[in-house]
Amino acid sequence: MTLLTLRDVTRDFHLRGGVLGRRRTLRALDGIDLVLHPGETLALVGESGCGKSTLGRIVAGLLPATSGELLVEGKPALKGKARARQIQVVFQDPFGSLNPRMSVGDLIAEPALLHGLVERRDVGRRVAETLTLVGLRPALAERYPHELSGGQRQRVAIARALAAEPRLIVCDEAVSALDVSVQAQIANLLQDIQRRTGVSLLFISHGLSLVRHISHRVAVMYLGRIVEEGPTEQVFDHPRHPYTRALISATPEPLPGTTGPGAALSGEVPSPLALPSGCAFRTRCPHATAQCAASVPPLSGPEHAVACWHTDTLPPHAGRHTEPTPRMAAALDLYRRAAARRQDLTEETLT
Amino acid sequence: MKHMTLPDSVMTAPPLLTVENLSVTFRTDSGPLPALDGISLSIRPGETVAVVGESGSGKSVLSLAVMGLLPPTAELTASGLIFDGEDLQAMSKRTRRDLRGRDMAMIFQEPSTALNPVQRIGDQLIEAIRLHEDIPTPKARARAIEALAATGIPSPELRVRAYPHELSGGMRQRALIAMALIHRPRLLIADEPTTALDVTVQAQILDLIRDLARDNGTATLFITHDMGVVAEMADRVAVLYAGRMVETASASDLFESPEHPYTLGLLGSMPQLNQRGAAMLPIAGTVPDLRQMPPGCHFHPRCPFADHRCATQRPDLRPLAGNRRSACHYAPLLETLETRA
Repeated sequence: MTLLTLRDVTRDFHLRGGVLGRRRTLRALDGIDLVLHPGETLALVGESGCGKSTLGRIVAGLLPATSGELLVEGKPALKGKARARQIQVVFQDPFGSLNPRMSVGDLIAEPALLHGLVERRDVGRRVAETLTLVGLRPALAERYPHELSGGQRQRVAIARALAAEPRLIVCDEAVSALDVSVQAQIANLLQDIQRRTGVSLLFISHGLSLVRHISHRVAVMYLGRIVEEGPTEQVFDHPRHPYTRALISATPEPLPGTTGPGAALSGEVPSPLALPSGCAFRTRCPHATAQCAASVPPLSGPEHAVACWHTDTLPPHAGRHTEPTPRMAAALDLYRRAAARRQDLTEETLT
Repeated sequence: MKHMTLPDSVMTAPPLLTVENLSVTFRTDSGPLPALDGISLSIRPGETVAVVGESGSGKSVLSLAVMGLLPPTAELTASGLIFDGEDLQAMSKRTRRDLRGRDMAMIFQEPSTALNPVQRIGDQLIEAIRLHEDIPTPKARARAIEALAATGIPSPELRVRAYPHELSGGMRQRALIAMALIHRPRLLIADEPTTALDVTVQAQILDLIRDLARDNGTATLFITHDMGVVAEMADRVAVLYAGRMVETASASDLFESPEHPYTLGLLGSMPQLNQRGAAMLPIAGTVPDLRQMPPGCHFHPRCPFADHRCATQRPDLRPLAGNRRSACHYAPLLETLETRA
């Protein structure tokens, strides 16, 4: 059974702007179909304004859809507290989402008590267990958010989400603001938690590298629509939409001399208030034809779907692969083995 | 495609900028805060040197020190701070100001804070031009439009009339680059210039900065935390950790064989260098508090190779075979640590 099903979800924002106060409609999401399975990580990627965060907020129940259906385990999604029990969110900036006046322990206890998941007398033990699950030592329960590092705060935000024992956690750019070494820690943590609890993840990100590493499936968005969707390996190894290809080519790889053919795309994302006709990507697409301006290509394909009129005639694209040099690989291996021997080297012992 | 080796003329030219043994300490209410400790580096014309590090590494303090834009609470000492043969420390404030914007310019991560929100882009550019050149306004306006066009801004003759908020993030960064380059500076300091941008726009801006270095012989100090951007842009790399330089090498040598455990940790944190789906190899813990720096090697509490020596003795930035240096007692890592393990 699928955990989450979205059918033809659309979201409009009404804006009043200009000197005449003319009402304008911004279509942030247009006909989104998506499924998410239990224990799966689905990534939503795309650049600013593509609608990925709006979609995340609709899934979490923080924003209603203008039209369309949202099913959780085959039934219409619940609202309010009942939805929060099923679906939790972790945002980019944990400083903004953690109440600064509450101790770490109270922050984690709150959702567990709210949803009646723990007796009041057992709450201390539950907080300690949850902190351990996110790699923090239980003594941290006494601290306040401002006393923690950015990585620790994000761990607390994840612990708070886990305390509701949700089926799904929406991670909206949850690691983007962290130092790279801490991003890797949090990514490892999310994978580890998924293995232990079976929780599903909706991983929203503007960067591709981490998505490729941790997601099972990926949906690429452009101006409110999904333009490509499929198993992560297929999408990255055989991208079928020109936009996905451009994103992959534009991502800098950590090895000199692997640069693709310069900036793959010219121009910038058009304003969502003045969408091009037909395929919204056509104004930046090197393969666009009259057909692309005339009508919107549907997202089609069984497992690996793409919304492009010309996908079958695009030149082959092998994706990009970065292999460390032999010496770098040997050094990384040495580091990995040394780190494995040093079980004392965790965030816990260092803070 | 990144040129892998620079022409000989670049490699033998005298450095445009030389920084020798630079330290910066901030005076704060809770005591002195050491931000940079004994940094030495040099950049030749046409060369791009990347300074890599995470928060608290001091990489942005380094760029402000070179520009002469440190706040009054900062105390700077250096045995040499030389730009084009001139001693920056001995210069008058006025001379330093004349240099800034004309011979050395800077672009920042967040262009919206570096642009005046209530002044049209064109007027800001004209002001920047007339700060160093006495030319009539119409001529300056033509130069401004030309400068915007050179950064790939479409319809620059219309954009000069725009206010910063009317431009997209990528467009604002281009305008800022246009402003930084208006006097064809010989040194460009780019402090995380693409961190706030979307990836396709980042690729465009990186291309632009690279072309400038190649076509005008601009020396570039490129500050970033992203090893992918380093690989794409840098000729040489300096890795900073907690205010000290821990490794420096040519980009090709650094990626071929990293010789400091922190550099290894940064690379291990890149998803691309890990097997898909497997646990990544992050660095344990977090950057230390600059007020409570660990003794010995600053990185030792987070280093999987660290031993008693690392906890007690500060490692020097030693030369290794080839033109590179590492501040690890155990460099070269493979040779030393394989036998120890």
